[in-house]
Amino acid sequence: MSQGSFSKWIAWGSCLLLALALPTAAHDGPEHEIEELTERLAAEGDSADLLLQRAIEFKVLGKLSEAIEDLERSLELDSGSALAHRELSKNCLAIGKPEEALRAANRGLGLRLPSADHASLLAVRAEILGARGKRRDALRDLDEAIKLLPANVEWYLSRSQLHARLNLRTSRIRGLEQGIEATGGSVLIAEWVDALIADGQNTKALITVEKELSDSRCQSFWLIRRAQIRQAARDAKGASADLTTALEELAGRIHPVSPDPQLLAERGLAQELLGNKEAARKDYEAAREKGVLDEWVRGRLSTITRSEIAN
Amino acid sequence: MEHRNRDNQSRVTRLLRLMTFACLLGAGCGLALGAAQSLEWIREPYLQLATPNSIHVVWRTVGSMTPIVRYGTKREELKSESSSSKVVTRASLGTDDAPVPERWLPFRTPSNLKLPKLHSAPIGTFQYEAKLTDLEPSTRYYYAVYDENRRLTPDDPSWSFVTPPPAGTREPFRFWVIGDGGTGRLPQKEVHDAMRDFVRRDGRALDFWLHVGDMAYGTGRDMEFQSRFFEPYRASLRGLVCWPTMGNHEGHTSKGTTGIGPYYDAYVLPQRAEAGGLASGTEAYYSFDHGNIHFICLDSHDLERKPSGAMARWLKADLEKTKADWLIAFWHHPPYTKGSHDSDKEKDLTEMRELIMPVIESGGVDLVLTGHSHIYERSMLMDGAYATPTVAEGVILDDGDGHPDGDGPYRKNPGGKPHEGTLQVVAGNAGQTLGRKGSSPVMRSIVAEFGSVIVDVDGDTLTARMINRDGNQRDLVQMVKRGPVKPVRLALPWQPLDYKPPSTAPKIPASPPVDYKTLVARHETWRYLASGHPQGRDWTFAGFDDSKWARGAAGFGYREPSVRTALAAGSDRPTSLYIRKEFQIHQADRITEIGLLMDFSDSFVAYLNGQEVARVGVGRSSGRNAQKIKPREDSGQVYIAFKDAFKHTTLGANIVAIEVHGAPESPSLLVDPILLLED
Repeated sequence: MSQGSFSKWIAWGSCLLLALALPTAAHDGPEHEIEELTERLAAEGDSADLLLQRAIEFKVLGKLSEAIEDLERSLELDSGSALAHRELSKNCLAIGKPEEALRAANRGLGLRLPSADHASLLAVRAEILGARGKRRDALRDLDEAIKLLPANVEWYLSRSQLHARLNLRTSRIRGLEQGIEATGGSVLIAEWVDALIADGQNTKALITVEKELSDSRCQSFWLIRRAQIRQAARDAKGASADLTTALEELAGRIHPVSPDPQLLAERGLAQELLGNKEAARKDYEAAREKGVLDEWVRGRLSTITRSEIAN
Repeated sequence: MEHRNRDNQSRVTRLLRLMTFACLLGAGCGLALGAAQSLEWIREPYLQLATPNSIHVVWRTVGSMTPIVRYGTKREELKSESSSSKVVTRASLGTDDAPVPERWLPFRTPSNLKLPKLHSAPIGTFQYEAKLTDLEPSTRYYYAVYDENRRLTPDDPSWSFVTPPPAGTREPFRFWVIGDGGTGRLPQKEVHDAMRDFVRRDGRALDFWLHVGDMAYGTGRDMEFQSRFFEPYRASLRGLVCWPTMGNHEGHTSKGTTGIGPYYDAYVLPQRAEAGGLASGTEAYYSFDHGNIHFICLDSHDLERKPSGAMARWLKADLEKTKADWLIAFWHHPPYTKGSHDSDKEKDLTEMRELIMPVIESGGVDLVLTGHSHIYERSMLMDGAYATPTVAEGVILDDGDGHPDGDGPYRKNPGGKPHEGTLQVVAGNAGQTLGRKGSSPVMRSIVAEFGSVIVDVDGDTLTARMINRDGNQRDLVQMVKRGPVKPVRLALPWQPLDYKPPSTAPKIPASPPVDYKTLVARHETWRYLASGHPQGRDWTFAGFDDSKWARGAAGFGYREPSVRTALAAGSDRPTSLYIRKEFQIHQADRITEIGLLMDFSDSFVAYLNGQEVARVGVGRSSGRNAQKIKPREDSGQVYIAFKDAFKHTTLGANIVAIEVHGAPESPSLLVDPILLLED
């Protein structure tokens, strides 16, 4: 028996013993990882890599303050990690410290990074700026991020929402068309239809809406878009029929206890278009509570409020 | 000295060498072996992105070739051809700001340097992605890869595939589901072998497979993909498409936001609805149809999960569009688990439950397949369990066992009606060390054994079986979509028994990889110092002058049966020992792992070219300052993987150095190492 095969035999033997001894224990989730990393840090001293790893595990457990502490120390030891800057920035934003989040993003953006990493950090900074109401600055960052990495569907959506809030209708439509060409993402097509409707290009929007209605299993989303177009064309009856059908479909889909917030937002829009503003507000607010915190819901709520004040 | 573990050689190079040998013996495997001998493959051909009319064949070689795939419905007559101009080529040719070994300089031609880059593959790697088109649905095709006119793959029926049927077709389908298998260790191999054996015994072949993530431990590097995914599963990759989702371990090196990394290099995935469903615009999440089943893959690791995010919006829209009979979703992080992870405590898992599951269930999904938690868990028929912590009351629609011979299958109405119940299967038990923290209240079957899941869909009936690594069926569940069914929420459903993990579970030592080379064999000669301590850490580096150190055969120590070089065992016996040895590495960027298979007493710190890579039982510091030395509690040979060995290894000569310390009052001292390489 050669040396190699002998040692292999021993190795397999150990595996077999292990296998028989098992079957449970070890690798018990993030708590276990944190314990091991803490032991290593105590034995080997602080290292940027180990601290970054531990920060990621803390984040998994929702312990963001501990994660931030590790990330700050990690960056003291190695300030060149794009991942550490991005994590620090996002964690700070998540615990409501936008100034610190912005500082971390800015520090990261000051590094010489591969373009994909730079673009990711720009998108993070755009999120922070958007959250602080600095929409034009956020837009600039997203434009640059998309230029560097034109294949991220999420960034086109975020930019579209910023365009909408800034009332940059043409830029919104063009930006989405650019995204559709670059990625083919279907959510950008839906967003583009919304952008066309917002810009009054209803005939163009209707072509896509009808096509989607013809081959979709669930139709409420597209029925509501058609209702918007019909309302603009003063076809109140047609619009009302679409909205009623959409609400019936949604009633079967929305979970009575734990509804999907996207469907709540959709029902809110149907209610709003039917003039049921209180019901719409209720749905929008419930959607927002469940995580639909984007510019769209904010926009709809402020539209309702404005119309109530006007009346 | 380098010994190759030939029993487990799995690279195509080795296969081709064997074929050459077989031909020399007159076995007659024929074609183009002269060419094969001179070609070094890195990754043998595997299948990707199948549609009823097309499929991708992907492979890698060392150095470039003229890639052609010939294919046809008769093995002896491969009439069609995917010419090299239709093949996407990617390459790893080094960068301008790092030295490139001379061997690869001729490949750095202007045209090659313009090729799309492989993220972190070894220098000299070329990847070819050939799309075979104009195929007939539900048809077996044989294929062969050629370097221009020289055939490289053998004339063997395993190099074939069956195209999917047209979307909507109601035929029996079978697919395999595995997760968290990519360790390169024995359980991974056994789980794969057990599946193949089961399928053979059962007489019904697989149509494709799903991998629910963690296919390349520890950080999803290119070499880890090679050694721990492509090589162990090569027999199932050449004839079946694996549809993957990214796990957190791949997520160390591959990013969903950018679509860059070894994961994205390895797979060709739909972005623009190439295989059905709705275009996602990214390979990070996608959908595809196979007959009357619609599959949805999500990235649960590193993308936004919020309802207004792109992925959740796409998921909703995709589900609204499909008209398939069966809706099956898969991703990595389980919404419900108490295995090695806890879905009530970990953000990634909680968010998949709270934010994604409402979309899944309002879209009428039937089955959710996940991994991450190293266990097998299978739920009752459930709906609306989005709260944290998870409770079973009011969310279980059928608390039976789902077995056709037991309480009967779970029942739903036909079509993708919302909120009629979802079945959750956590299949993270295909290789990584198992773990269990408790019992999730929604689970009906919990099995802490290595294994995988085989799913059969036949018309209105879906059957899922968990097959353990011995080939035994450990769970069977069935769902029938035949109406009318009126879902009822159970106020007090059946509950699994409480499980409390032992407070002092024995620590399970790591096992060595199945396929490895021996870099330093047992009982080889090392330099050693048993009298006193060396100054500083210079002794761990390559340039250190060790000529004054003694030489001897490992193991070193006293009062241990495996000692070859005995040290003084009397009152002047040493309590610390230092050993070092040079070994050779021929291509540093092809290292998956380096580790020690070693018996020792009591504790040690190991170094690779001056960098600490392993530490057992030494609580603090090192050398003469080593503190908190723990007596070793177990005995015998164990395997210890070096941490990030690939970062510290260089082409040519390398130094491994080990310091061993006896615990106070310890009667013995021992170090008996074997150094292993997984590449």
